[in-house]
Amino acid sequence: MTSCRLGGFALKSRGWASALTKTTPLMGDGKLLVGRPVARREDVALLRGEGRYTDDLTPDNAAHLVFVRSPVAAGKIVALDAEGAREMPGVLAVIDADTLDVAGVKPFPSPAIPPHLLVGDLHAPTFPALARDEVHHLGQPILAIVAETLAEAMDAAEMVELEFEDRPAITDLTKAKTGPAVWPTASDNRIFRVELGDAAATQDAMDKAAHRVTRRLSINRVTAVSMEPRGAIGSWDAETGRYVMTSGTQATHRLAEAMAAQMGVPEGDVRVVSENCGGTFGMKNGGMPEYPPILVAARQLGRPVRWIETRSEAFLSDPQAREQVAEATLALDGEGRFLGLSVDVVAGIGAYANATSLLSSFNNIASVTGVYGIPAIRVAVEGVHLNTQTTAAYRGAGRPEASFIIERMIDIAARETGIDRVELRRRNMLQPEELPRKTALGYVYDSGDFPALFDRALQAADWAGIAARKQEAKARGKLRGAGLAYTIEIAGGPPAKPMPEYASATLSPEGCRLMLGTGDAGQGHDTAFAQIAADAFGLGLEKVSLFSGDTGVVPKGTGSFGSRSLGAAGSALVHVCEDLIAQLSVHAARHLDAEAEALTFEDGTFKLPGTNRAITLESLLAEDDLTVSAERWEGTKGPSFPNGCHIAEVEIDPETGEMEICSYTALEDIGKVINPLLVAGQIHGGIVQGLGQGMMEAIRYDEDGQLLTGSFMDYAMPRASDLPFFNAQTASVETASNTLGTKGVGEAGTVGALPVLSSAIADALAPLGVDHVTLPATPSAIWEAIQAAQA
Amino acid sequence: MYNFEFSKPGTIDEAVAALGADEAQALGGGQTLLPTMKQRLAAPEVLVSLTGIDQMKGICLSDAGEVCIGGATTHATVAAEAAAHYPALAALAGRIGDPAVRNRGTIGGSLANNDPSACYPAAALGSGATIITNTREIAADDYFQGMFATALDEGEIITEVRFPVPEAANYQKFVQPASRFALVGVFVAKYADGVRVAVTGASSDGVFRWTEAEEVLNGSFTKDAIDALSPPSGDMIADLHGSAEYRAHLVKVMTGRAVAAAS
Repeated sequence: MTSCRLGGFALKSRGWASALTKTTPLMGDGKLLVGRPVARREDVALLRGEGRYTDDLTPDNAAHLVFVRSPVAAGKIVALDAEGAREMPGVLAVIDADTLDVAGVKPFPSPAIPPHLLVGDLHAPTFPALARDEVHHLGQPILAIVAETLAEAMDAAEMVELEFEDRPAITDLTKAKTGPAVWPTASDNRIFRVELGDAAATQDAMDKAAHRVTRRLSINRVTAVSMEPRGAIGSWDAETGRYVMTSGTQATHRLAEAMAAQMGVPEGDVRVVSENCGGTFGMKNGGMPEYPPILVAARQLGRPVRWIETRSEAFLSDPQAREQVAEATLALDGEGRFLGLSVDVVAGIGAYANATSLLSSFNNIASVTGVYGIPAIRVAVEGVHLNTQTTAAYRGAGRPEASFIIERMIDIAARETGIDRVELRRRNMLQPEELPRKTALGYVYDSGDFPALFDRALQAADWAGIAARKQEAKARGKLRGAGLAYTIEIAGGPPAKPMPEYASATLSPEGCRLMLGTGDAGQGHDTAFAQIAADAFGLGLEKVSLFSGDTGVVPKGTGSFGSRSLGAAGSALVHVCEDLIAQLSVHAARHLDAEAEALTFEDGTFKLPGTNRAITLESLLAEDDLTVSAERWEGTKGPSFPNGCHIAEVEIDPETGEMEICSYTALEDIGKVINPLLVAGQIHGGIVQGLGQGMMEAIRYDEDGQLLTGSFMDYAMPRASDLPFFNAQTASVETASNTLGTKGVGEAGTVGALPVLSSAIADALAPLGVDHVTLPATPSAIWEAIQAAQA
Repeated sequence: MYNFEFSKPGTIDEAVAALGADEAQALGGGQTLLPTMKQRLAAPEVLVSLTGIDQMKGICLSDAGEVCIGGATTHATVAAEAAAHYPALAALAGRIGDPAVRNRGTIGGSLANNDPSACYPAAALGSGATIITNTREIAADDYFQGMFATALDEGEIITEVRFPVPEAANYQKFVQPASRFALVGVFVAKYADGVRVAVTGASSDGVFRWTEAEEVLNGSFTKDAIDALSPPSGDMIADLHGSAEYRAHLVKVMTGRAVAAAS
């Protein structure tokens, strides 16, 4: 009996076969839950304030920990006296770098870069969780103070006497090469240089090009601003000799693994628990300096220790993202066909590099190929040290940046060559019959119909009517512009061998219990995965429960990032369901007095074809009092490539630079849709994250390394009133690279939004001679760009 | 936040007495003070809430036709109740912060704090309002003395603010993207005895009158009248939200728009 044949049973249940293999509209066929806009089950608790976020899980006997952080960006600690703090009421412990050493805590390891990509040396010093002797960025933790109450810990922290010998700081990445060195061992502040693509072929393309368009494009540094700030509750389980860290994350197993290595204990001896997680976007998926002191304190004191950052602390201590300057040249022939693309990126990383700091700047840069057949591409990325917080993965993690480069370059090339930007894209777009296609940077685009989706998007946004709308706006004194971006990104990678994910299911008379290794941070896992299992077994949604987010219970896991959860965990779950139906068919065969192989499984019922003999799965479980389980730990066949076209229209007041986003259309090919409501949520949220970066969000340090945007008074977040209603739709071509046929949706909105906004602004300002406004395009930045163009 | 004593007197006299204590601080709606205290950037020993004093709350018209607003009146109340009498003032109040801020923040608290980006200082100065305290009456022209600085003495309480009602007025607020405070706010009011133009958000000296604009608007209360003017000089704020030139430019644009909307 092969699982393949039994897979056949599962695929027949309630029309699964068609649901899995055909392009389906947003609504299911009326019977299936998959494909339906099932309301989020988790929201009942979350909207009532009954969510269980990290701080909600603080035990009554927890001690409270606060950090003493560096008030300077670069300097030597010449005096540190914590005696005053130790003597304060309620103080239980003062933890410094030495305490961590004694407890066996290891420094943060240097992140690795694949040797075949690396040119020259990698300079990423290991660093301690608490600073010893020297500090390299504002807010770097130096001491942890633990007390009975939070107020006592804060009072004690103020009694610490610290003196620094300040050093000059470097915070401007364009001056990193010649500015003050963050580390004496890297005088040019270079962390790494990575080269990809074919430099010689690209040079050839440049040489024979009719047009070469060169631009410098910078992308602003932002921070995640998760609604639930970072935090952790550490405890020590004396019975098992294990640390327990309760902390909202999307990737409990990764975090547990990193923390075990860091605490100097065997893998598995740090258990990580995450119940609800209020947003992470990549930011909470790795070890951070705050965590080891919490665990050490918990073990020392024999009681739980709680740290929840304040919002001010989040601006200082959460990993930031995106900052880079790219210099790009796009080469075109006389007919506007792309011949080659050359890109040099300098990415501002930070004083230190954590596990995901470096990857975002180059790991997903192959998106720079776009949906076009660019025959020759070379890319070089250099990461540099700055006296700032480090950057790390953040929704898209390099994908929005890469897409921004190619889509901006096409718009600019269109203007310089006089070829219409829609036409220029059409001329270069890969045709469906050219797929699968390996791009010049190595991605294999497996499926999609880019030209058709492009046309549909242009129609949906009434592209043809733009000229009239511009005229109408002009009569009101406004400059209207339309932006266009067609983006594509990798999901569920890496390309060569996608990471595995864990899924299990247990069926019993009580129902179906699922376990997943990937964690929810608000996406709606509890609903989407339950829809899949409910359909597979013919059960009601209420019979299916989902558990994830505890490495002490879930055996394995990778995590939720790179738009991978549904493809990886969902496909593994389908296989688990097939395995269970196979197991149960043996039991069903006994009841039906038949051979297991002869049975079919449809609509939750085992049947012997040609007879009226049948038994439902639920009856079978109840009558035999059966409990059966199956699990999978497996990767998908390959990554997938969600792609989509975003079109936005803006109106700009040329007198003030004020901008209104008037309309927004996003048409996405994300493969199979499990739940269109969740998809809309992901696309809407992603768009806002991209637009926020494009129009207002920015982390800014002054030249001394002080943070100018350390609160919501200066760090601008988009609000509902800043945004139009979104017209977000899917136009899916299912992928064969995973069993579900899904392509991933978590990052698509952000990837498209960042370039489309810039495109719209540039179009609006074209009459004034502006072809690009540096991000973020605040009214001030737009006005300055107009002044510069008019000067 | 550090520990502090808290009192909520029911009369102005009791409040004045309570503010006589060492390190005592009056508390209006707390929309600036409380966040500052939470960050441990302010540490008053005694907080004296003024929100329990009924005689400091509410809006009425004086015999002279002035709109009189109790110092502890919230922005939301001003937005709702001043609308019939002084629409430009009510509209300004209705755009301060968000609903939570407007339901807590008070006019007295805002004027006492004199944040250089706050809206009310522009209304008070632009209307030539009178700031009434527990001890005296202060003309708006004498009251504002630079960023976060006022004519108030230690322990002095704004009990009321009196706004003469203009023939026409309008407030134009251009918001700072993050805080949504005024990056530049211009209040223009046309009275029988002249036009007043008050600017908030732009200057590091706090709210100020743009007298050149007032002069030309006295001649012709039209948007075009200010066309020939250069933007105001002076100590414009330059920060990550806008250069000094940008702010000066916005002052002129917002002034023109306020005039256009008022006339």
